[in-house]
Amino acid sequence: MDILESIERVSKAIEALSSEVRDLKSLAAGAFPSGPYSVRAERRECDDQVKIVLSYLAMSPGMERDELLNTLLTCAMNVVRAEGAGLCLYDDRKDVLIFRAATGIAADQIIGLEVPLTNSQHGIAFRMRQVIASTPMNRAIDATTGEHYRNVLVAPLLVDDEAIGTLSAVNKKHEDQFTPQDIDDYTGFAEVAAHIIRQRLREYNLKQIVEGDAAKIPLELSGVKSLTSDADLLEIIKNIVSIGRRSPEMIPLCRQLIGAMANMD
Amino acid sequence: MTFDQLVDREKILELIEQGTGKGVKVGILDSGVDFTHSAIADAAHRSFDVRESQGTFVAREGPGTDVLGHGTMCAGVIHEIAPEAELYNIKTLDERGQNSPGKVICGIQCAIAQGLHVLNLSLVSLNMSRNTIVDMLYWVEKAYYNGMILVAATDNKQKRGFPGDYSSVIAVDFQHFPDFKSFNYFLGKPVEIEAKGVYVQAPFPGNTYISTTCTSIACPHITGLVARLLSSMPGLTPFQAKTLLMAARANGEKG
Repeated sequence: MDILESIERVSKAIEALSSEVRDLKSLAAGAFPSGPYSVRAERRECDDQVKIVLSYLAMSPGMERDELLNTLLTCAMNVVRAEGAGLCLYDDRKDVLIFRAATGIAADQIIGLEVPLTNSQHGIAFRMRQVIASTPMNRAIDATTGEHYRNVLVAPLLVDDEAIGTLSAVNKKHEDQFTPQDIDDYTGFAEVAAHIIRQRLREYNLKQIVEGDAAKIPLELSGVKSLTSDADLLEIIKNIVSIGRRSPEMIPLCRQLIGAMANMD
Repeated sequence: MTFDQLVDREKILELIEQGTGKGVKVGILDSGVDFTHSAIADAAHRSFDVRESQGTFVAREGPGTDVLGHGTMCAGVIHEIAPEAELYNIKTLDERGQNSPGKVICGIQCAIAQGLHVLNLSLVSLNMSRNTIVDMLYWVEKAYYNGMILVAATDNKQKRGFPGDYSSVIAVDFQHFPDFKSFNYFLGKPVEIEAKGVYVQAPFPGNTYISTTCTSIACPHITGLVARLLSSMPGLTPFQAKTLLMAARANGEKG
């Protein structure tokens, strides 16, 4: 990335941040009535906390340009000496897996492709929660990318035994097929990757809470399913934040609740 | 004297060689089986769907359509090894591909009710609660005492998973082997058997084939082998089957 592009990104992030903070401030000024305690001080403190969170979140670009995920995929590709790697996340509205990030062979053409769960290696890995190496079955991907895929290795992304997507590698370099050792290595790698990706999803969820507007969720994440436990927590936190916004006198209680949740195992 | 000195490995391999699966009822508890596939159509016997009904699970005769392709792969391997075995399709995955220990238990109950001799379980349930582990164990034991041989895949990550972790079940992992007659046995480990499971050619829905490597595809190799043994030695109990497998292992003293 050159310096001009970096400056452009930072200036856009600051612009977005400023408008978010402005919106939040006007929202708070209009919505928060005066209460029996110092609401003004609470609001200032809230603004400061929101600024910190927004600043942090503004550093996270969309998933397909996410440096962390791209690095993760490059490692995934190298672990098993493949020509490409891809990350699919489950879209529970469509009941399909969608390539959200990719690296290596035909990476740009793969992002956004939908992978059916029926009769596909990705489906088997995701539903049966097991790593599978095989000859490719979904030739539609070959047709879309114009590439010939010789072999594919797919691992489920599992957190607490719940699958959130798949991590795949294609075309083993210098060999006809992936080996049992590759399967072992990829199994361990996918375990680490699943936790990193879960953390990324949590950050996107946090962005959603702070922005308080589901319409602002990045397009590429609409439909992505979080872990059930995370989704439940997200719903609870959203409700608590909503109560706090509506009734500022409840803010101290809301804080206590969120604090208690943060300390939960 | 050691165990290996006591048994005649060649004789057991001969019995395996002679077996065809004739008269043996084999269940595939999985994502369904595509019995329209030309490779397995002549082995189809009956199909059951496990569904939720009024808060409980019931198994009823149904189409058992394969929603993933997984069960079809397993059925294909079993049929190739034991071509005369009667295949019973017990589908526990629903249209959304959801499975649960409750459905697996219901599938085992169905297998017992149908009087199956061998049940292939190329699946693993992880993080089961203590109560569910006990509930499933009850039915696994019931199957054992009914003389049904349960063969289950293990978790890729070697985590504790069920039903493979029950001692009365034959737990299988994959390894490089030239054919189903070669396998390793490890006494005292939750995963007792390593069987052929590397780039195995198997039928897939849509009258196609897939070449695949995973524990799920190793499991039906042992299921098919047990079906062959059973057709050579009708009435073989789960305990006897496991003992013969141990004796015929490739990693034995004589192997």
